[in-house]
This record gives sequence, structure tokens and C-alpha cells, in this order.
Amino acid sequence: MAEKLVTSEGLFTMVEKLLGRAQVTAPREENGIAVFGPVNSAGQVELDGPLPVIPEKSVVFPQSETLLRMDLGGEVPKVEAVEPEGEQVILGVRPCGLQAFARLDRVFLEGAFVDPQYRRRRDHTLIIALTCPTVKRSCFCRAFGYGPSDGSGADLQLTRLPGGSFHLETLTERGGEFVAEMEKEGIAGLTDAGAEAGSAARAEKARVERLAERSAAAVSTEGVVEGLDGMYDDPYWAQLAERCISCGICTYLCPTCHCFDICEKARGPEAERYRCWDTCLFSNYTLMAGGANPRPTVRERLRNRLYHKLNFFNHRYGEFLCVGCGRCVEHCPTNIDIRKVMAKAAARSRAQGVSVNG
Amino acid sequence: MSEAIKTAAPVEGEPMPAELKTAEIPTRRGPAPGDPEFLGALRDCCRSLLAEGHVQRIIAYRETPDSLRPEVAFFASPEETGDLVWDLFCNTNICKYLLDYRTFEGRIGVVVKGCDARGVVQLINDMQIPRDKVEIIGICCPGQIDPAKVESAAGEAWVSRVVAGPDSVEIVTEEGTEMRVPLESVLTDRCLSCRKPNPPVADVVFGEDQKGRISDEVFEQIAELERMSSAERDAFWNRHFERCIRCFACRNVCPACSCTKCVFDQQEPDWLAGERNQANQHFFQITRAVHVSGRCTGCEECDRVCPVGIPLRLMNKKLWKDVKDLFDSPLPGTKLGVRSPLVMWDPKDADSFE
Amino acid sequence: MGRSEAAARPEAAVSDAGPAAGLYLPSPATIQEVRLETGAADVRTFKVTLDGQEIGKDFIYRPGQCAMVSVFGVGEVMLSLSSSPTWTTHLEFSVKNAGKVTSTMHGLAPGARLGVRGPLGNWFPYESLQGKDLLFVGGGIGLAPLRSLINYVIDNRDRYGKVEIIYGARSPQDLCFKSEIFETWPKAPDTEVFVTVDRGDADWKGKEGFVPAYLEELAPSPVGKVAVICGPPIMIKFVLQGLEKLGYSDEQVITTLEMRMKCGVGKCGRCNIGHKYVCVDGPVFNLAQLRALKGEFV
Ligand code: SF4
Ligand code: SF4
Ligand code: SF4
Ligand code: SF4
Ligand code: SF4
Ligand code: FES
Repeated sequence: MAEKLVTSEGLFTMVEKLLGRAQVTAPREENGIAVFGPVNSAGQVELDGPLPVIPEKSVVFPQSETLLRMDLGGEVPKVEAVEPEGEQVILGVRPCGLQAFARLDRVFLEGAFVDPQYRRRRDHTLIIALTCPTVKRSCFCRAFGYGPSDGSGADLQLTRLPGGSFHLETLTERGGEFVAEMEKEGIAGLTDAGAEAGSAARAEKARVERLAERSAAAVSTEGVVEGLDGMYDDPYWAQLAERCISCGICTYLCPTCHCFDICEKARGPEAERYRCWDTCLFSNYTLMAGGANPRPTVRERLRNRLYHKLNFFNHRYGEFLCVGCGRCVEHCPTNIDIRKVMAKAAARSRAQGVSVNG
Repeated sequence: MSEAIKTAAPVEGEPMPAELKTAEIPTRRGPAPGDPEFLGALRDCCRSLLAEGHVQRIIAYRETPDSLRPEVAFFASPEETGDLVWDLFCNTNICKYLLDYRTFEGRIGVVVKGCDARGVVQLINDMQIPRDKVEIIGICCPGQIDPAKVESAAGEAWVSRVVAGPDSVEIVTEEGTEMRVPLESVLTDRCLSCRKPNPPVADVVFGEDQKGRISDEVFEQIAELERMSSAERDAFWNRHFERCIRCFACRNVCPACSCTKCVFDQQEPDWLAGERNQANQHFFQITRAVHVSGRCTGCEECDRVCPVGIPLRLMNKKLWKDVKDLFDSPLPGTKLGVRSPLVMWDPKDADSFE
Repeated sequence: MGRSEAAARPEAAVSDAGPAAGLYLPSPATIQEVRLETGAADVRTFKVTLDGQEIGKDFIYRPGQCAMVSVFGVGEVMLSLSSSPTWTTHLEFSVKNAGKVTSTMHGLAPGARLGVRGPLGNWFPYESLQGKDLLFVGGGIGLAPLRSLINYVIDNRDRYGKVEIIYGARSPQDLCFKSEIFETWPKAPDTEVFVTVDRGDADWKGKEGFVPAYLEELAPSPVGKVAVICGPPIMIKFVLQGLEKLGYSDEQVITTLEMRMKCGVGKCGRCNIGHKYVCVDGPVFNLAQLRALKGEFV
């Protein structure tokens, strides 16, 4: 696929052009924190910062979104499904974000029930990935078989080159169309990448892959699913839960968590049904109308989260629901670390002797 | 009790109500953090409290392979205290775990910094846990280090450990390189403006009283907010509230949030609807801030845990400032037996009752 | 590497009449009749028709399936269809007044509009049960999903063996579907109904005692039989123990589960028991399947 070179000014102009025709979401800094959020000027985009705390998922699965609009004034209620509108671009998606989109696709698009909201947003979102400029200690992508330069799943991929310019690769037809469009508009600073830029990009990718290599030594998925198969009633969960405050950080920041609640709001004859993020760590999540709760304590709730990430999803879809982005590791207020859970499970599976090599 | 813990003078600070005074003066004082004997003495102290049956549980911290992130740990027997740790990365405020022990039969020891200790006292004052059920093992706190700041100072290198001196810290990376940065550059934001690093109430105290750090930054920011027009202020807070993901971590760690069923968790009626619109975001933030005002101990744990950097401290401190100005009450959690002016009334109150 | 060997695809049991284009858009429906089931008025049965849709043609369901029922402006709730698919004039939902949506429903009169999204979930294995004897054990409102299958069996009487129904409620007031348990079902060929209440009243001449105890007393033989059970968790727990004692294997015990549900289509996450979602993989499971799952089901 085509390789281009774009100066940071050129990229700036491209973003400005995009702003007129699509909702642009990009890494942005807010009060010292990097977040993925809507931007309204190219100057807000911050591509050199750390992995944004608020994950990419909000572009395809917003914190809250309307499902139905109702007019209850007449004798017969008028109810219509609301379709998300417009075009979106998400810029600066890291490889873990791309992997997360692939997991969300399986949940929302696979099987007999296709989620119309997600489908519409996904189809109308152009994904411009970014080779990670830095690798944090909390990153453990390599454990899941990909690394910080892996652009699979993106339409385009940017790699920051040492001089400050970006190497831009088109990875899909849609990405190609976008570049062609930009070329037609005559973006100054957007040129074909020569051999030099190409090899600089490969060198940069190799550099960040080496950085990520360090975590590969520390975390592995080997035996995790099998170990957990035999650990459901282990006292370990109660021990972990003792210090978990049952907040929403690890799940709301997780790029693959997809749980939602469906609520109604009515004002006079007008009403709306919407969905909003929810998490299995909250006690209300499974609380039934009669007051019974199958997961009454933090132990059951935390265990559910960890199993969903590292075992249940595997049994359902054949892959992990964790992509190793490290957000939960870094932001858990009580330092509950999913990598340690993986290590514990792996050790258990070795002890059980059920681990299959390779 | 460890040899290292000597009888010493009472902790200085706000005077205590006479009836509580004698009980609250710590009679034992151990070495300070930074002293080579400190950790051993702290472990000894905890071990003997458990061994002698003075407490049945100790809530403190445990060493982990990631030395920047020790874990909160619950010690039930003297043998377990071998990996108990207290260093400059014990950021988590553990006081809130006491609520898990409301029905526990036995006493609980808590290893607390100044800010944590105020939380313990506030829980006692709010009648969440009786004073005699808690053994307060206080530490005069030299200030805590923010692991994120250390990591960003180290850049691409992985931090292996941090050696703290009085004014600077040495960051040692996995590759073996060393770098020295000023202590202030890696302290947590709350510690940079902490005026009360010493436990106001304790049964045992480690270290001599610390002066704390008198930065006025927060109050300057508040003054700035007060000078804004209401539209400007609205815009300021909107920008922040918009980011709130409603993870409730701020509430879950707050020593003033002790309701058994929080209004935000109620489902019928659902006072706080799930929709992330401006009205709901404001309702959540303002309700939370107002509900804890007069009981917020200024520990800034909410600010620390907020994953999206909402400056909760500004709201809390502004409300605290107003409560103090109106009622001339002490900082919550600094005195036993004091109830918040906002949860009681007095004929002398500024507002009339008509 | 580290992957499970289990199915790499969701095993959603999807009916051929699943929700169409608007996954979350309910079909309009109208309440035709409201029947009070219990004296305490906490259970009502709603006879519902689908506006412009023919049941059995446009809306095809099987005994044991559920649907999301909307009260517009209030919310949506997952309910089991308590009617039998053999009835083509209307659907029935038997609803306990337990939350915002159901309590609003209880205030609705014939003519009121609802929304129905479904049918959802799997169903009792009514085909593989053919030729077998059936034991139904129900408690309280738990009879509602069983009723769908019981009436289906009675309407196809020659295809099934002997039917025994053990049903209990707290008091005579709390018994649901009284005309069926006391009249219709006992009159059906080769069908026996055993009713018990925890505590009787002055007029009660029937059995007193808990369902699990009655089960033990009646001791229905497991030979050639399948037990289908539904009721409050505590009843289920003891009934399972009782059936095990009587020699029922885990494959011979079928139950239908209740969880808090929102989407009904395997997306919102909350109804999982281990890696299964009750809304799409259930609500019907046999005990062997349940025991293989990690989760909190009874
Ligand atoms: S579980 Fe944690 S590390 Fe894994 S994808 Fe989610 S936030 Fe990232
Ligand atoms: S971990 Fe919990 S919140 Fe996240 S997707 Fe799984 S069930 Fe939902
Ligand atoms: S972020 Fe940490 S404390 Fe909060 S729910 Fe997750 S594991 Fe528990
Ligand atoms: S706020 Fe004060 S007492 Fe608390 S950790 Fe910082 S310096 Fe120590
Ligand atoms: S911790 Fe921050 S993001 Fe979470 S609920 Fe509180 S203010 Fe909102
Ligand atoms: S109800 Fe949403 S997944 Fe089952």
C-alpha cells in the first residue's frame, strides 16, 4: 500500500480540513491528563503524549447514546429507532486500540444480532492509527501477540519520524481514498515517501518493538485460561477483593469493556430510551427488581471482571478480552494488577500440569 | 512493644477537647521514616500488637515487585507482618477500609499518614466506627511520591527503585542508570500543599512532627475562580465535568462518604440518571461536593484517584473555606468528638430559624 | 497459545423470528385483557396482541422463550411468555409487581399500548421431550414459564407421556393460574396436579408444606422422565437436592433462569453465568450444563 511523508504542518492542515466534514476524535490534553476526545481545532491534537486515559471505544460506543425516540402524546405511541449520524475520524489510535476495536466488533457485530448503533458508527469512522511513540511499563501488548507498531485494523497509520515528520501508510481502500482526497486538495507538506522515509519508519517501528520486548519477558498468556479454569473457588479472589473499592475505573477505562445499561427518560409526552456505560463492578449491575443479587459482594464482581477478560471471553470467542493496554494497571487506585492475576493463573496451570507447550 | 518505641511528648497540633485529651495523647514514639531502624520498628510494633492480642487485624501496605506501587494489605497474624512496608509510595488512603470492619469482632490497627489519620478520626466522629475499636499507628509524613511523576521523569527507561533523600530523590532504572531529581518535582500534588502531615490523634507515632509544605497554590486557584464571572466559572467546570466517567472512585475512597446506600446508587427513583449530559454531570459533582463539605478532611484522595484529572480538590477546598469562614470550625478529622457544623444546629447560627 | 479449545463462535440459540432491523425497536402491542392471578394482587396476567402481526406467523415462538416488554416512557423488562405457542390469538405475560416497569404495567388497563421485542432466548427442548414422562415442579410465579410448556404438552397430548405437576405457593392467595391448576390440567388425560401451600387459611383443604418436602413425599420415579423446574432460588436449591436423592441425573433436570437483563441480545453483558449469556444461551439449561459453568446460579 502507498507510503507518504507528511510534515507536522501538513498533518495540521489535514486535520483542519477534516474538521469541516467529520467529527474528529484525537488524543488531547486536559488538566495534565491525556484523553481521547472530540477536538475542534487541529491545535488540540497531542500525538506525542502518553496513551490517553479515556479509551478509543467512545467513538463507536459512546458513554451514552440514544436508541429510541418516543412521542407518547397521541393515542398510539410513536416510537422510532435513532440512527447515529455523520462521519467520524479517530486519529492517533494505538495498536492496542485497534485490537480493542476488533474485540468490540465481535461482541456487537457477530452472530445473529447486529447492534445497529455500533454498526453505523463503525462503518462511518475512519481510523488513523499511530505507532506508539513511547512504551510504558504498564504496556503488555506483546503478551497478546502484537506490538506497538502493528497497524492492523486501521485505515491509515502514522509513524513519527525522528525529524518530526510523519510517515503515513495507507492500509485500506478507504485510507487510500482519504489520501487521494487530501492530495487533490493540495496539502502542502504531503508527499510520496522516499526510500529514506520508509526505512526511517521501519527503524522507528523496530525501536518501539524493542521497547515493548521488555514487557514480553514479564507477562505471558501461556496457561492463563487453563489455570483460571480451575481457580474459580480459590480464596485468592476474596483476597484481591479485600482491597478493591469496586469502582468503575478498570472497566470504564478498558478499551474492550462493552457493558451498558438501558434507561428511559421522559419529559411530558416526549421520551427517549438510551444506553450508557455500565460495569460489572457496580453492585446494581446484577441487582434484580425483587432485591436479590447473584453477585452480592466485591469478590464475585471483581472475579467476574477478571474471568471475563482472561477466561470467559476465550471460551466464547476464542481470544482474550484484554489487549494489554495497561490502563487498569496504571489507574487502579489500589494497585490491582491484571498481570499478576495472569501470572497467578499461569502458575496454577503449571502446577496442574495442564499447560500445553506452545 | 519494640525497644525502638520510646515514650515521648504528645503530638503538637490543635488542642483537644479536655475529656478526650488524656486518652488521645500517644505515649509511644518510634523512629522516623528515613531512619534505618524505622521499618523494623514499625513491623515490630504491628507484630506485637497482633501477637499480644491488642488488635486482630492490621491494615497497612505490603511490598510488591513494583516498588512504586505497594499494595494495601490486611494482616491477620504476627507471622504475616514480615513484608509489611511503609515508604514514600504508600499513597492509598486506607481509612475507608475500616467500614468493611463495622461488624468485625475485634480491634483493627491502621497505619496512617496525617491525611489518612484525619479520615479515621472523621469516621469516628461520624459514628461509623468506635474509637476504641481502632488502634491508630500514626506516621509523621515526609510527603509521598507520585509514581507517575517518577515514571515520566525517567522517560523511556523503566524505574527499578527510588531512593529518597530529604530534598531530592535518586531514580535508579532497570538498566542501572541513576538520576537525581528534586523531591518536590515528584511529590504528589496533595503533598505539595499539605499543612497537616502529622496524625492529629494516634496511639503510637513514628517520627517527629513534620512541618508540611505550605503552598498556597490551591487557595490562589480558588481565589481566581471566585473572581470569575459566573459564566466563566460555568465554562471552567463544564470543561472538567464533561470528562467525568462516573467511575465513583472519588466517592468510594472518601472518608466522608459513609452512607450505606448512596443517593447515586439508588435506582428507584434514580436521582442520578445514567445519561452523560451536562445537567447530570453537574448534579453528580455538586451533590457530592456539598454532601461531603464540612466533613471533607482535605486528604485529597478523591483528587488522587480521579483517572481523568478533575480538580476535585478545588471544589472541596472552596467549600471547606466557606464552612470555616462561616462557622469557625476546625479542619474535619483533626479533633475527636467534633461534629460538622453542617450536620447540627446551634441557636447562635448565622441563619435564623424563622 | 493460551486459547481455549472450546467453540470459537458464540453458540447463540437464535429463533428464526428474532428481532428485525431495529435491534432495540419493540413491535407495537396492545393489552387485551388483564387478569388478577393472586389475592395479594402482586401477579397479573396480561393478554397481549401484536399490532398488525399474527402470532404463529409473524411472531413465532417456542415454550420457554422470553420477550422484552416495554412500557413506553418507563422502561423495558424481560418477561417469559406464559402462553403456549399453540394459542395463536394472543400472547400472555404473567407479571409480578417488583420494579418500576412492572408496577406501571400493573396499573394498565385493556387497550393500553406496550412494546414487545422478541421472542428472545432458547426454549424448553419440547421436541426431544416427546415420548417422555414429564415432571413439572414450580413455586410461586415460577409456574409462568412452565405453564407455556404444560399447555403446549396438553395441546399435543398424544406426543408426550405422563405429566405430573407439583406446584406450591406461600398461601392459597398466592397461587397463580388457579383455573388451570384446579380445573383444566387435572382434567387433561394422564395428567396429575399436586398443589401445596406453605401455610393454608380457614378455607384451605389442600396440602400444606413446602414444595421440596412434597416432592420427597410423592417421590416420582426418574425412569423415562424429565423434570422441569422453576421457582425462587431457595426452592430450586432444595428441589435439586431432592431430585438427586430420587435418582434423577443432571441431564434429566431442566430449569429456566432469571437474571437482570437489559439488552436481551448478548451485548450489554450483565446476564452472564460464566461464559454463557442467559438472554441468548438460556434461559433454559439442564443441570449438567449449569454445573459446567462458572457462576452464581442458585
Ligand atoms: S483489562 Fe486492563 S490492560 Fe487489559 S485491555 Fe482492559 S484496561 Fe487494558
Ligand atoms: S469486565 Fe465487566 S464491565 Fe467489562 S465487559 Fe466484562 S462484564 Fe462488562
Ligand atoms: S480499578 Fe481497582 S479498585 Fe477500582 S474496581 Fe478496578 S480493581 Fe477494583
Ligand atoms: S497529604 Fe500530607 S499527610 Fe498525606 S501523604 Fe501528603 S504529606 Fe503525607
Ligand atoms: S473519580 Fe473522577 S471520573 Fe470518577 S466519578 Fe469521580 S470525578 Fe468522575
Ligand atoms: S441481557 Fe444484555 S447480555 Fe444478556
